[in-house]
Amino acid sequence: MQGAPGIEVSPFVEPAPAATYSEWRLIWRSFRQDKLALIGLAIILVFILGAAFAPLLTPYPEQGRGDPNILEKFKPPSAAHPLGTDYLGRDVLARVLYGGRSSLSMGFLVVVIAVLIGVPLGAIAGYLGGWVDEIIMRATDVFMAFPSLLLALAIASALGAGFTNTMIAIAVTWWPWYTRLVRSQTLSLRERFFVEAARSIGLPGHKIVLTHVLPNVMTPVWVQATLDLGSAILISAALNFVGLGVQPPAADWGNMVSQGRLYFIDRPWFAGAAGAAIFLTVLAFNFIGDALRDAADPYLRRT
Amino acid sequence: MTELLTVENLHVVFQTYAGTVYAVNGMTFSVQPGEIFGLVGESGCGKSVACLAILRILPGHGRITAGRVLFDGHDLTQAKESEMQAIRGRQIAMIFQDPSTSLNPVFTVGSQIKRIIRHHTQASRQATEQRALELLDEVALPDPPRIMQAYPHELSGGMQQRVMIAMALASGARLLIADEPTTALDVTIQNQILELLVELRRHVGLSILLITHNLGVVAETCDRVGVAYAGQIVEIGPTSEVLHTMKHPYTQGLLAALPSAQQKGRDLLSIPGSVPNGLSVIPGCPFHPRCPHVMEVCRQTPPRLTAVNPGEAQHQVACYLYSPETAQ
Amino acid sequence: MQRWEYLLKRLFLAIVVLFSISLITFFIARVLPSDPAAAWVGPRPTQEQIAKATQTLGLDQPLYVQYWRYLTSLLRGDLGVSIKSRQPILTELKTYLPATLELVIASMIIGELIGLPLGVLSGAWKGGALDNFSRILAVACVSVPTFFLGLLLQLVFFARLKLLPISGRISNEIAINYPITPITGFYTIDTLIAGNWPAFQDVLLHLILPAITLAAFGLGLSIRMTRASIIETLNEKYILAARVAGLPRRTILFVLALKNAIMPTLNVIGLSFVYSLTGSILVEVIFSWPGLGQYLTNAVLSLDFPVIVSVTLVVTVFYVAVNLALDLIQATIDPRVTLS
Repeated sequence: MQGAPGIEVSPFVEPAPAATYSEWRLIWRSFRQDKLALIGLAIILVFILGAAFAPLLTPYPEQGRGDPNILEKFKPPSAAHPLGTDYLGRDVLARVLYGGRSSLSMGFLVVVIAVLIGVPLGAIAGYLGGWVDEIIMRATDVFMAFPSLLLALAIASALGAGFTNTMIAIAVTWWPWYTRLVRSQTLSLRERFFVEAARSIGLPGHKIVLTHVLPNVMTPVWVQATLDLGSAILISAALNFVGLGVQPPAADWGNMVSQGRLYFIDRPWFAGAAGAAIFLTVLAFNFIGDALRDAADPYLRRT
Repeated sequence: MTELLTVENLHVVFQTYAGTVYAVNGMTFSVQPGEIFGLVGESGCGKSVACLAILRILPGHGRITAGRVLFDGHDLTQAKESEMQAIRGRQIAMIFQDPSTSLNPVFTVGSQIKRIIRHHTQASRQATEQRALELLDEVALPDPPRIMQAYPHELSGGMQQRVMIAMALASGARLLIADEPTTALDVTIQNQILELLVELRRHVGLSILLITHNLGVVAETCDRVGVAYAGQIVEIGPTSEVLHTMKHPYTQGLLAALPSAQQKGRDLLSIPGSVPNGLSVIPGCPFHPRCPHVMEVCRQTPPRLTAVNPGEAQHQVACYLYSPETAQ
Repeated sequence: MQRWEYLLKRLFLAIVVLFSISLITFFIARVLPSDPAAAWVGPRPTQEQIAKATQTLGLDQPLYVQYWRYLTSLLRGDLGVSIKSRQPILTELKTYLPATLELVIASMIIGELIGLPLGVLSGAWKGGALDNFSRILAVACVSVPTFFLGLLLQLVFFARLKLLPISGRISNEIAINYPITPITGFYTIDTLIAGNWPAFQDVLLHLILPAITLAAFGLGLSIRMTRASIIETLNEKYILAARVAGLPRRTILFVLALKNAIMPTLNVIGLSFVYSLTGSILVEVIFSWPGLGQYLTNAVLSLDFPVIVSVTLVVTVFYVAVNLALDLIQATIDPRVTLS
C-alpha cells in the first residue's frame, strides 16, 4: 500500500461562511428561551429599581435610613406597614428597600473591583510569561488557598468595619479567579495571527495587550462576573451579618437579619423579610447565571 | 446476492438552535458478507451520521425520519431498544476515529476487553482471560500479557486502535463499522491498521463498512465504494470502476483534487463552492450549485441512481449526464 | 518513581503555600491596621499596654525581623493571647476545634450522602422528574443564606413542631445528670465510647439542625457538580464505544462512567468541606454552637484581633491539608494524574 493514505480529499475553495451573529446575540437568543432566567431578570430589576427609587416608594424614608420610631415597634404586617415594623418601630419595607442599596451595590462593586484587579494581572501574566507570570500565578495560589469568607473577614476587621473596607476586603479574596481565567485565554490568544501580526509591526507590549488581547478575552470575563454576582451578594450579606460592613443605624439585608434573629421565633417578619430578600436576589442571579452559562458554553470553551 | 446490511432511503435530521439540519437525505447502499465497502466523502456529508443511525446511537437531538436499515433481513429502525442492545457488539461492532478517546482512561486494557467478552459469552474467568490474550495476539499486538495490564494512555495511537479492533472482535461481530479508523494515526501506522483490517476480513470473514474521506484508503482496501454528498450516495460501484471510470462530476472533482505523479508541479484542481451546511434541502441535484456541467433539469428534480451501462448494474450514478431521460 | 516525584512535588508546593499564608496573615496582623499595637491590645488601651505590645511584637524593628519573630513563634505553637479572655489562643482553640469539626463532619456526611447519589441519578436521567426536582433543590440550597436557613429551621422544628432543640451542643439537665468525659472532644463519639446513651441521644438531637443548615450549601454544590460531571462523562467517546459494544446501561453508568466521575467528585467533597468550614462561622452564631465560628464572631464583635488572625490561619492550614490529601487520593485513583 504505497503512498496512498495520507492524501486527503479536501476540495474546499472557500471556508464555510462565518457566523453572521455576534457572540452576544447568539448567547441572548439561547438565554431568552430560558423562562427561569427571565423570571430572575425580572426579580433583579424589581430590587434594583426598588433600591434606586426607595425615597419615592416609601412614606417612611427617614426610617429607611435608620430613624427609630419606638412607639410603633414590633407591629406585624398591616396596611400601613406591609411588612410590619422592626424592634425600633421602623417600617420593614422601607428598611428592605434602603438595605437593598447597600447589599446590591456591595455585591456589584466587589465583582467590579475584582475584575479591575484580576483582568490586567491575568493579561500581563499570560502575555509576558516568564518570571512575571510565575510570580502572579503563585500569588493567586496563595490567595485561593484561603477560604474567602474567612480571609475577607480578617482583612475587614484589620481595616475596620464599614461599607468600603468590607467591600475591598471581599474583592481582595476574589480577583485571582479572573486572573486565572484571563491568563488562560491570553495564552491561547498569544500565538494567534493578529497578535503575532501586531508584534511583527513593532507595536509595544502594553498596546498589544490593551488593543488586541483584552477585547478578545472580555466575553468569558463578563459571563463569569455575572455568574459571580450571586455569590458576591451572599458573602457580603454574611460579613454584614457578623457585624462588619455597614454599621447601624444604616440598613443592610445582612445586618437586618442579624438584628432580627433574637426576635425571630416570635416575630419573624423583619429578619424574615431581609433574609427572603437575600434569598430571592441570589436565587435570581443563579437562574440568570445558569442560563448564561448554558448559552455561553460553546463560546467559553472555544479557546 | 444476499446482503448483510442494506440501507434504504435513510433520512436523518438534527434539531439545533440554528434550525433543522438535514444530515442524511435518502442514503442507499448495501454491504455484502465478507466485503469491505467504502463510504467516502468530505466531512459533513452525512457518512458518520448514517453509521450512528444504523446502530441507533444518534445523539439526543437527532432522529431517523424515513428509510429502512435491514440487517439480516430485520429492519433495525423498527427494532426495540432491547433488541438493538443484542445487535450492538454481538452482530455489529464499531470503531472510531480517535482511539485515544474511545478507550476508557481509568480501566486497564485487559479489564475492558474481558468485560466485553464476559458480557457476550458468559465464559469462565479463565476462558475469558485466554480469549482476551488470543484477541490481542490476533490484532498483532506484541506481548499481550503486558498490554492487558496497561492503561490506554500508556499505549501508542496505533496500539490503541488495535486494542479497539480486538474489542470489536471480542463480541463476535459479523459487521465492523470503521469510522475513519486511521485518520488520527501516522502514515506508516495507517497502512498497518488497514492491512490488519484486510487480513481480518480474510481470516475471520468479517464484513467491514469503512468510512473515510481518503480515496487512497478506498483504493487500497475496498471491494466496492459509495461516494456520499450532502447525505446521499451520488455514485456507487466496484472500487476499480468507480475510481477509473468515474462518472459523477463530484467524484471527478474528488479525484482531481488528489495529487498524483502526472500532476506534480501543477496546481491542485479543486471543486469551487463549499459543502452544503444541511440547514436547507437543496432542490434538485444537491451538487448542482457547484457542478461545472449543471443543466436546467438539475435545478428541478433530484436524479436517481441508475446503472452506468445497461449491461452493468453494479456501477450506478445519480446524474442527468448519464440518465436515459436526458441522454439523447 | 514518577508517583514519588509527584508526591514530593505536591508536598513541597503545600509547604510553600503555607509559608505564603503566614506572610499574608502577618501582613493582616501587623501592617494593615493603622495601629497594630493597639489592635493587638484591644479597645481603649493604656499607654503602658501599647509600649509593652510594641516591645513583645517587636513593632519598632524592621518588618523582616518582625516577620521572623512572627514565624518562629508560630512554629513554636505560640498564637498569642486572646484580648478578651487573656488565655493563650492555642489552648482555647483546642477546646473549640473539636466542636466545629464534629459539626462540619456531620454536615458533610449529610450533604454528600444525599448530594452525590442525587447528582449521579439526575445526571444519568437528565430531564426526568428526579432531575427537575434535584435541580430546584440544588439551586435553592446554594442561594439561601446559611444564617437565614438556620433561623427558618429553628422556627419550624423548634418553635412550631417542638421536635428538636434550638441551640447548643447538649441540654443543661443532661450535662449535669449524665456528664460527658471528654476524650476526643467529639460529643457523639465520647458518649458512644462511654456508653452514655441518654447523653448520646441528646447530643445527636442537638446536632441535627445545625448540621442540616450547614449541609445545605455543600448539598447543592454536590448535586450540581456531580450531575455536570456525569453528563460530561456520558458524552465521552468511550461511553459511546461501550454502548456500541452492547454493554448494558447499568454497567455503563455505575461502573464505566462512575469511576471516571469520581475524580471531579473528590473535588466536590473538598469544596464542600471548605464551604462547611467557613459556613460553620455563621451556623455556630445562629445555634450558639461553642466552636471556632462562635469564637471568631465574638472576637469580631469585641475586636479581639489576635483571635481573628489565629483562627484564620488555623482554618486555612486545615484547608490546605485537606486539599493536599485529596490531591494525593486522586493520584492513587487516576493513573493519568501523575503525568500532567
